[in-house]
Amino acid sequence: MFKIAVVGDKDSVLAFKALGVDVFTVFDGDEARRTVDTIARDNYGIIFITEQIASLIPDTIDRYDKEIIPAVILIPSNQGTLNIGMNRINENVEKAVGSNIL
Amino acid sequence: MDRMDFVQGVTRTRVLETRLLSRTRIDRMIEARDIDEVLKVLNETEYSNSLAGITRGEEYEKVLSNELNRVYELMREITKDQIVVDILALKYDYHNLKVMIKEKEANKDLSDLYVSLGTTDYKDIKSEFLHGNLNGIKPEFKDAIEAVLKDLEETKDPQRIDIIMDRYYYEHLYNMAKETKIDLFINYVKDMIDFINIKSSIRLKKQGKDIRFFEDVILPNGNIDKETILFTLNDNIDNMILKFKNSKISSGLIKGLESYKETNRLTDLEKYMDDYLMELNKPSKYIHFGPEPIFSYIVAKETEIKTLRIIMVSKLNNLSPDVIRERVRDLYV
Repeated sequence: MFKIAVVGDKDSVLAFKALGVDVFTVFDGDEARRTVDTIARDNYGIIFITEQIASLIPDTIDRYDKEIIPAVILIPSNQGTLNIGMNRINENVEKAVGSNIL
Repeated sequence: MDRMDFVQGVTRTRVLETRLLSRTRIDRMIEARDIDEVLKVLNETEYSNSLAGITRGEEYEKVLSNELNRVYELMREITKDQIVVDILALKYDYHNLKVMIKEKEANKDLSDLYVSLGTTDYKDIKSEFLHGNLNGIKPEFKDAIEAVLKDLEETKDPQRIDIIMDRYYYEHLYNMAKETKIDLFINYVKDMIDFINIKSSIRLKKQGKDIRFFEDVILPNGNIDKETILFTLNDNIDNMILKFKNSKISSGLIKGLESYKETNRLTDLEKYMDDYLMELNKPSKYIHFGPEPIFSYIVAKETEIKTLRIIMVSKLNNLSPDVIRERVRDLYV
């Protein structure tokens, strides 16, 4: 069984705790990189990460694109969206079907 | 309680009162650009000691808990009769009891959730509890723990841990206040119970709970009797305003209910509750012989810390100064 994790600033991610998702709060890029790498090794299948934090560690996010597990998925934080997550989905769709159908 | 015992304590509290944050300081923090600037303003005040070693705005929780610890320690030293502080510290005991039981039920380590401000050392209670020896614990706590465990066995509903604990807490709190025979303390507790009961009524209406559940949640010992509160479960807000127009707490309550009606936010009612309870404490400024100023100073300090938390969390989440100002509490000074 894989676990689910969510990474981001406290105010954005704490509510996920109520759903039984493991919550990791981080403040800066260094901490985010370390946290993502640790939990990726720790049997997590899906890692949700806020766009704000993800924008600080693009290299790490790219690295996990090439892995099957874990799936790193970008979500908007409570400050609104930066559209990185949606753009990535568009890119992936384009890669898969050859044109942007969304 | 001998009122003359507090002469020196009151004098010291008077000095401390002058160091409470002023309206202008709070305003400066509300207008600050980001949380680091808030901390900079705070550094000019008596919080500077609590700020030592804090480098990041995100660590604001640590600043606030340092300060709260400092205040409780100081007030315990100042007061002749610990019960004055105990009335306000009791909530931390029951918080710890809840954590302790949940820790055992969920089989998880929640040790960072304990608060060390209670009237009794939670570590002692916890070790007695884990050894199954409830007789070494204060009888009030023991009763509460036993009731919760018994209920948990029957219902297996973790929500009821909080409901039952709260009921025992307010019972204990009321008895403590009554024991002091100080009007302010008794009124403070009774009025707070009224507010909480009305808040429960609104909340349960929203959740569509039935009257049986409501009867469990409602707290005794308020000014408004249980029946009156029970009947509000089917009232809309306008009816509630009409019904409580003449109650003792109406000055804060009506404002709270009206703003709840407008915004549909229960936090509005909570703000007016805090403001009302602060108003109740303000006459303490003119009492020179008695425990009231010490009690009121702690209330003022706790409200101040709550205000700072609102400002800092809002700053971290980029809320506008106007939104923050709406939520900020009335001050003691």
